[in-house]
Amino acid sequence: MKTNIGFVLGTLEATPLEFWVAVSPGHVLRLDDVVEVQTHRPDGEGVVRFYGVVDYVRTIYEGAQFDTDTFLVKSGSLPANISYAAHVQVTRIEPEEYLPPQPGDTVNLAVDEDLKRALHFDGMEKRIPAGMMRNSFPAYLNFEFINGEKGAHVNISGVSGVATKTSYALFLLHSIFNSAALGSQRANTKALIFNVKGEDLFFLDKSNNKLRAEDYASYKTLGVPVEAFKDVRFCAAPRKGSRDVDPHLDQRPDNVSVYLWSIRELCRDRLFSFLFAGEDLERGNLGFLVAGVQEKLARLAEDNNRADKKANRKLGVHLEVEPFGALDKQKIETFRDLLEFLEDKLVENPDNSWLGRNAAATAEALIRRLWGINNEMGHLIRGDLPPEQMAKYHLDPLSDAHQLTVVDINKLGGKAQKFVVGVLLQKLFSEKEKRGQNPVVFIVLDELNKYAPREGRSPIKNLLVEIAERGRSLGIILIGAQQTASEVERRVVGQAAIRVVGRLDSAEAERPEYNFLTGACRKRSLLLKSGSMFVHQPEVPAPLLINFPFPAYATRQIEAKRTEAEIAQIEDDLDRF
Amino acid sequence: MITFSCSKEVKITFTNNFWRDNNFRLEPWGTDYEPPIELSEELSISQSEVDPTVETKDWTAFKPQQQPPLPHQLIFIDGRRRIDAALVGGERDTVYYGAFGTIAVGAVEVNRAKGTASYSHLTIRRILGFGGNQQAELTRIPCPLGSKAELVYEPIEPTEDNTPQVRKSLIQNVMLKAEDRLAAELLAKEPETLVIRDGQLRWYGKPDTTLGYVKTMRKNYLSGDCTALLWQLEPGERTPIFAIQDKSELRRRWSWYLRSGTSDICPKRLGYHELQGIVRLELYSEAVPLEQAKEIADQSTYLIPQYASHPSRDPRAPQNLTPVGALERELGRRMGDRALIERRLRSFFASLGVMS
Repeated sequence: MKTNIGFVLGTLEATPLEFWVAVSPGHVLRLDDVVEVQTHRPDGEGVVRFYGVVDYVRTIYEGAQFDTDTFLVKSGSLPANISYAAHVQVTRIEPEEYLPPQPGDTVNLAVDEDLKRALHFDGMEKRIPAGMMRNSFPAYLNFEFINGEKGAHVNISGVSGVATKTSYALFLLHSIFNSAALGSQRANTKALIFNVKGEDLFFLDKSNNKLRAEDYASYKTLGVPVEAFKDVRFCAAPRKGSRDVDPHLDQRPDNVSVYLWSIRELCRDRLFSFLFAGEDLERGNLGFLVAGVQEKLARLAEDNNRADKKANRKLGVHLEVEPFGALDKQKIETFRDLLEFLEDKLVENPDNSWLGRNAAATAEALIRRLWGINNEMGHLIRGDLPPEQMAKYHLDPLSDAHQLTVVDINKLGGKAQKFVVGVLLQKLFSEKEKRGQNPVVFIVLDELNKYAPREGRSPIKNLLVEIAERGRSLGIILIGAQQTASEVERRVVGQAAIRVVGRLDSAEAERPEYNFLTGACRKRSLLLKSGSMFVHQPEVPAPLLINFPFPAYATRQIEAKRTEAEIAQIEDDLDRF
Repeated sequence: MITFSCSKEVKITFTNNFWRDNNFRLEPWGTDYEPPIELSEELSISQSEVDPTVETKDWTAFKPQQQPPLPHQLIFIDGRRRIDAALVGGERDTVYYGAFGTIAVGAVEVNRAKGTASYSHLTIRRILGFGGNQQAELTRIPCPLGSKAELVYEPIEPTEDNTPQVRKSLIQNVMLKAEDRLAAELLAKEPETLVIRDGQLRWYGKPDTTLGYVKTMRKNYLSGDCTALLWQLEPGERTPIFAIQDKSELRRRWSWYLRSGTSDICPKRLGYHELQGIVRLELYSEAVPLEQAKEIADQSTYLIPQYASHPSRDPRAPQNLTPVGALERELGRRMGDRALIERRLRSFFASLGVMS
């Protein structure tokens, strides 16, 4: 059934790519509505169908000459007609014949199959729900443009707080994990989420008790189940300054594991350079010296491993070295030990095999920087725990047991955050290089501008560029977010096939990074409410405004539904009291 | 330097004196329209029999002391005509004149209670007629390009008169009759409504209660002292009612003059001639008793200035009423583009040439 909404306007140009619609009295055509027009070829050779999205609507008193005629019309002395017209951006022409529609052609509201055709949903073999459109039909993303088959990566921009970037990233993950598009790889598809703000992501495994009836309805329309994330592993850094290793989290007491790196792992896996932030390596020869030291430490760690194997010992977590420092220590068991060892080799008793041809000043700069991060990093890199215990704190996002890994970096300092993200991505990258593309791994990382800024170089930025460019073939999919795409490395944003925009700052909206938004969408991006986003994908020529439903999983402690066991436990406690 | 400025001052004073002494004023209606005041010297006193004493003998301006009850609904009626193409035909000793024309009539219904104005009963006719009793025939003008709407010209009764002027009068008469019919139809449907028709009341059909609104002065129906009153009327004031019995026109009419406009668009403010803004209204005396005519005349002193147009919007302000101005524009729009229609007619005749 077609709803006739109006006719192609004859007083303004109608072209194959855009045209105006004169809306019939008593009908409504809104921004984002989707329309269909059939035009008969003037030579009688058939029918051409145009599909499009409304991107501008206006009404005006027709026949009124002056602005003040409005008062006359309102007072009832001047008759005037109201002209209600809408501008349509064409999204599809079937068959692909670029002739203009004829003035007076009937314009219908596109629903159901027409709507799918208009927005190219019909050609998507693997599609995942992206949210609800304004006309309460679901919008879809082509999963082939996410999983690397045709394109990869999602990039989300928007002002902090209002744009709901992380929430949308989670909704997408939820939608992907529960869609048929994954097929047989559904169970093995993994995701790694970095929690950068509060502890909001530490309740994803709990159902949300604030869901309303209409939210259930939207989930039903979208075909996404109302349930919390399953198989979630929560990881957090250990508390600083305590010998015991317990997670540094305030809100969630249970089921949280700690992540740590051993001194030996740091050296062997060449993670040393991740201790240095971008600005450190840009000046002087520091980068060269860091690379040399990293290599030396790696060799040292390999020697240690060999020695352990020879002695039939479990591989240790510390390093055994020649005596160093005032106390003639022979073991590097803490980050501080490592500092002192390097200080000895590079500054106090310069060893040319470590220092290379670098000047003393460079060595001093390196040591200075290491001391600078000692307090921040010391509790993350340990060599003083038994290897069995250490193994528990090993963080592997590809482990079979869990589908979703949430890593908290919120409580860490800036450099430590970069270290954790850098190291995890590096490990993931080299692991995926070995294992191959499928199943894919999703990485959700907010504040991309911090990790891959437009200016400067750093190991983690190189890694992110590498993921953006090669992740597609390796099966690493970056769901990145930032407040301002203009401050993020062009290659990282540019490689994302799916671009999402929430509320933008007005200066930011004018940047060329958002060229995929049409003029009207840019203006509207300044007004978007939380929960509304513009989604752009390669196959659909117009950005779609979508709403995504209230999360089915708790995103705050008060939303978390208690399980029956927990309720029973609380009741017990009360009774005892 | 000083002498120069002095002489300039003298000159300015001289010029001002000339304008003051001679009472020449700007004709504000614009040169495209027939001027609102067109009294030729000989004809200034109308040939009609005018009785200025029907309402009162005391000819001083008056305005009702208190506002009379005003009708809730008004209907303004107007028409437009256009000669689409002038025709000349016939053979040897006989020459016929004729024309393709388009007429449009319509109404604006003003609901004063709700404060709305809307177009209604807009009709467009395309007509073809000749003088010299030459019968016309239904003619379809095809559309060469694009749209599928052809132009259909209906034949109208020919007249005996056969001069080039016949073209205008043929079409004019059809339009006036259509206006008449529309007025009668609307009055029959809504008897409580005041129907105001733009232009003089004609003598077709049956007399009814339509109020005629004449915005141009062709004849001066008043003489002597009575005329002097016209110059003194303030906006919203009227003359007493007088009766007109034309020699040629059989219907007897009540009529009165009224100065339209508001205090800020009166001639004194704008430097117009003192007769600017004077309009004449008329009613059929057969259909409207004098008492009712007085009532309507009193209402008109409130209603007409209320719907008067402003010089910034309408070149014929304040005489041309705002709803009528809008109606004229709307009718003009619906009549179709003049150049386009003329071109179609030309190509129609060109195709006749090819066929023969």
